[in-house]
Amino acid sequence: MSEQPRANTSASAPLLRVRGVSVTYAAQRSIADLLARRPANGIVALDSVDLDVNAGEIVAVVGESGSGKTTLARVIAGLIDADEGVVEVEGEGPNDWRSVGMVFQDPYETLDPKRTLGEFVAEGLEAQGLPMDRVNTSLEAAELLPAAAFRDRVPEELSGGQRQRVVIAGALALNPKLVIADEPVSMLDVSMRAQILKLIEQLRRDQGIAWLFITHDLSLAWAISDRVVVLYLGAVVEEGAAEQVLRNPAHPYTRALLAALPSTDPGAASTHSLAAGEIPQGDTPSGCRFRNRCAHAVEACANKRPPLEAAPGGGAGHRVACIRAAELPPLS
Amino acid sequence: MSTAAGADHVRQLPAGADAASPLLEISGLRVSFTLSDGRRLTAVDGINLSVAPSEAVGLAGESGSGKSTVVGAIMGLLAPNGRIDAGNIRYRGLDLVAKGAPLRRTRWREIAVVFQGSLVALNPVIKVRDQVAEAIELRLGESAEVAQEKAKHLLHDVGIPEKRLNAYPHQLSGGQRQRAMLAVALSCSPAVLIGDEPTTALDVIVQAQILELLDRMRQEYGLGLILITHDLAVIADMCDRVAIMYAGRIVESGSVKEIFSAPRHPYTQALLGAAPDARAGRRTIKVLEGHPPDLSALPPGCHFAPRCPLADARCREEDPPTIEYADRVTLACHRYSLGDGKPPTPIDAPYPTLELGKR
Amino acid sequence: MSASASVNLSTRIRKRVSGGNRIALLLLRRWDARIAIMIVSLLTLSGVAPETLVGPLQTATTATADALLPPSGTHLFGTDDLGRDLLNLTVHGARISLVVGALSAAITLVIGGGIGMIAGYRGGRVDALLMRVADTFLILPTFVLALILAPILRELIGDQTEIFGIRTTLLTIVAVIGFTSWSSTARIVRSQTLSLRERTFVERARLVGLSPMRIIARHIFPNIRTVLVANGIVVIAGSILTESTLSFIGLGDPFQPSWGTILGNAQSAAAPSLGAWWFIAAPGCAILITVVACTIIGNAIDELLDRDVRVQR
Repeated sequence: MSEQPRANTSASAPLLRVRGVSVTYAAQRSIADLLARRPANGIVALDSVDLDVNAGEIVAVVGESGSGKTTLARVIAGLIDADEGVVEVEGEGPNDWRSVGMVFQDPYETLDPKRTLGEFVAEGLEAQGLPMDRVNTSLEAAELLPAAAFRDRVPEELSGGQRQRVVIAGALALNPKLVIADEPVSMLDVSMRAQILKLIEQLRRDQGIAWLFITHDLSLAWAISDRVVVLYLGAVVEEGAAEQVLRNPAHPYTRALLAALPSTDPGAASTHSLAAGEIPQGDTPSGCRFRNRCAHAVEACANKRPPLEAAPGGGAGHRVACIRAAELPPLS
Repeated sequence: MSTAAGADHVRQLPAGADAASPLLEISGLRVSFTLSDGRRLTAVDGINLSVAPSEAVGLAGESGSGKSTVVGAIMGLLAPNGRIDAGNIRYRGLDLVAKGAPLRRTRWREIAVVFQGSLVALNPVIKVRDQVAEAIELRLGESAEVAQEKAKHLLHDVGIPEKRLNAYPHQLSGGQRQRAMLAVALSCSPAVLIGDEPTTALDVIVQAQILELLDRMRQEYGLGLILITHDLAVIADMCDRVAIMYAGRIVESGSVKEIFSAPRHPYTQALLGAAPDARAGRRTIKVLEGHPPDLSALPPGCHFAPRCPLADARCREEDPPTIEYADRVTLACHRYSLGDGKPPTPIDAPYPTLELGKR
Repeated sequence: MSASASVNLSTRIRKRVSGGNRIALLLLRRWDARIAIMIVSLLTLSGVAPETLVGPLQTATTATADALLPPSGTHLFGTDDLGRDLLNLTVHGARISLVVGALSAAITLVIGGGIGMIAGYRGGRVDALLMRVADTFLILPTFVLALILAPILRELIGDQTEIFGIRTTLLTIVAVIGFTSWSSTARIVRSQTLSLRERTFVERARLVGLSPMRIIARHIFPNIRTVLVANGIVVIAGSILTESTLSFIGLGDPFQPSWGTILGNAQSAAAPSLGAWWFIAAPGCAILITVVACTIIGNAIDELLDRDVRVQR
């Protein structure tokens, strides 16, 4: 997958390079599994995923629950191992903690209620044997000012937005080049979200940090990212520059996501569901993964997995995995 | 689209009810909670809200705004430390609040709720069809056979496939569980349906499906729908009228069309501008600094003043009066002069803006 | 040891306004817990300074009264068969009973807590092995094991050693109780650890490269501390009971009489048949009240913890 060289980056290897990553969860049916509706046979969470993130780039991975987006985040962070494939950050394996940070979805769960914010931020420094003076600078970079006042506070005293800032500060402490953010604003109130998004952009601009922004919200993905990658049932179905994918969605799934987005714009058409049913649990259909929910599916869709190819009429780097992409009617 | 269920649906008003009175009307409702250290916290502070048959009203606010407490008060499900201090909730003119009110114990016949977490709300060891049937049997006193038949019909109506009728809740997908919850809620043929963040836990495509279903049920059954959510876009999509809550008070209310095209209250403006909107092609977001106030230590005057770019000295001292400048269109903000009876001209609150995706 | 640990604990809680502090405050709001805490405080006081309360421990040679006097103004609890004042004996016995209870609870918590945390955090084979060992100890009857171990340990430690003013005989009892009652603590701690292990903050600590031992020290232990305290107090009650039983059958130290020893003396002096009910009542009620009070406090903390978790979730 060769990315178009960006204006502000060199044409050399990307910062993050993911190639052919597959993960299958083994069948282990405990009571928890039963309650979580995980079936007995192995579940393919990721199926041969390729992904690049260049230095200073924000790439959004968009998908519903069950799309494999969180698994992808965890594989890249090194929390779980891929069954197949390669994950490289600056040409090194995923254990290079210092260059990859992670921000989790739930800031209430990410901070240990029993430890101070300073202790949280210092944790990575301590584990890596780095100097502690980065605690203050990290808190400041996350706009927790004055840093000294925050160091000794406990999570209980903080709002959700402030907690997420602390989590970001904890990631910044290790001076990462890439931060993986798994739904970093979905648990926050609307008014808190803007502040965190602002911080993410600011850190990209000022420190050149690249972000892998994982979200279910296509609006957010479009607004914050340079590139959007749409994930469905563990595979990339469409990718391209954010503007291109939104203006000219080439995959029926992306179109369904877009049509389902409610809008506060009084002029916008009301939402409607273009796709039937829900993301299947367990059994991935043969051929195109989306075909059993797709309004445009034909017999040929069942035959083989559609490869990711240049989107018809799309710009550079806009690729789609749909054999009918060229025949889809224009989107109303 | 099936209308059979709608035709069956002949509602009998409870004794003493007045068909000419509003379907559900909340007036001057104030709810407070006693904290463990003895302080009292006012979660809902004098709100008015009403819904008519077939009407959809959105109640929007962030967490801590008191919107879920309103549901608790309507349904009599307040936590033990909660208390209704003042105000009224009336169903067709019948009091739901006063001790000994005839409808106090039977309000669930008239008003049903769909909550967010459907895995918790459904009994995990009973098949969905039996859960719906049980509700019909117990609450409407139908025989088991009739109840089973009605349950089947209702589940079909909310879009549960025939072969899933005998499934257990955990065997259903998130969207199907929410559909099943809706069937349980509709089992007593309520006149009012309250959705308390009914689609928040769902993915966007499934959310669109459930919203479509809710909308169809509202029309078919002539339900008065109160949709409680933090997502203004969902309200824009679903509702006729909207009320925006902040720190226990309704700061602005009116028709969705009016409010969303010309938001007047600075908080409404902030909420509407807080998220990017791909459908509208809007990348610029308004940044609302600070965070919602601690309800046990509210600032004097307008609760929003500390975060408001328009606030002046008066905002920080005096409570803004709620003024109804047109029929059922209200605004509580000192910065608008509302004397002349004309809709006030919106003032654009100068929030810092952030253009996302700008290189 | 346990005293210093709890001091340390309370200062840390004060510094942090943590869950433990809230629990302590909530505890004081419950009337049953308040009474129980008052009783335990009183007993602790008599255990710390028995001399100032009732004078030095009376022995057969220093006893001044007649034998087996019923309770009266001069001898509130009556006297025993050697003419010793039972109030004096009971108050001095409190020290022995409480210290033995606290020390054995400390051993229980250290072993049970440590094994529970390691088993829960490491999981897999380590967990399976440690839990089978715990199961083995769980089915072994403490009392029988104590009977066997007591003389063996006494041989091993020797007769002259003295820790915290406690002589070997009692130390044996402490060790026996400690080594036989840790497995239920280990089970409780393990299950707590298992759920903590899945929390995001533990995952994130792993992500930044914290070692397992540090994760246990930083994240697991502080979050189960209050559970340990609750469990520890219940263990103290159990230990006092076991100690009393062992002393009753004569495994105690006659020179450091505990409540169990007094009961044993009453038994051998045929107090029941002589109608000297006070001889049995004084130590018996002391044991009963202490055990009930400890159990109330422990259960109250446990209930509050449950509620606390529910509130947070």
